[in-house]
Amino acid sequence: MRTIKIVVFCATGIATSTLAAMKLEKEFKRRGVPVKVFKGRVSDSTGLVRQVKPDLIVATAVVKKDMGVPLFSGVPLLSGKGEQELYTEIFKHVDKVLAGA
Amino acid sequence: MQISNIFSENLVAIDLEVPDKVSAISTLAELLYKNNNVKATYLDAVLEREKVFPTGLAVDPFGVALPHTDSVHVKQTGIAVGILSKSVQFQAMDAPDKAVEVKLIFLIAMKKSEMMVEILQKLAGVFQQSQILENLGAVDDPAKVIQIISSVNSEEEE
Repeated sequence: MRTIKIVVFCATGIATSTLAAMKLEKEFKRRGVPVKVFKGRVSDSTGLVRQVKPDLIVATAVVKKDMGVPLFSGVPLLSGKGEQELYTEIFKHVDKVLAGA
Repeated sequence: MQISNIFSENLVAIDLEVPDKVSAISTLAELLYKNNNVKATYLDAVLEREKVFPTGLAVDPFGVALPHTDSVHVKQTGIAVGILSKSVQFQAMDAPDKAVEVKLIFLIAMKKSEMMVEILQKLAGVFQQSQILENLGAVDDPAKVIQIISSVNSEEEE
């Protein structure tokens, strides 16, 4: 199975993205899907996405630009509300990626 | 950092009646300022950041907001807690066009930005549990606010 690449963005690239990244790593591990999570600031999003070429983006702040990669709101990872629904959506996408790879 | 030390009765406002989020943040920032947690530049910096990166979280039974700003405006780490008698509107963290009715505000002043992760984990333990929020919404004594928050484990410890 190939490793899924995720970029997590927040306002500063420090706080909420770290929390979201930890939650994602835990859930991917639980499901046995290899993952590599990168963190960054929203303001640097274009460059980081170009560099990493992620399979999906998770953001806890607003990302205005469409970067041609599926974008998920990471706020449920912080608030806890809608967290399971978010995992369902993310892994639906991950399954598609892995099936195509 | 002992996280419970950053809460203090001096930094709690209950039954706070304010017309909007700017008044709410200003009232709480004054507590931080009087308690020597922040510099005079802190308030405007928080308000400015809130415009660009809003911090409202739509959780149940009422919304929570986590306004904060860069650590250069902070003297010592502290969190002011505001419990509002009537909700005010914040913008959602992931959607500035979406309003969140907020009744609980954690105005965060961190001396080092790396502390924010630990602070968020602690606060997540609070706002992810609707029963805890119900209890906070019903307090009649600032000391109880500290008690309730101290009794909650950080999110990752659960």
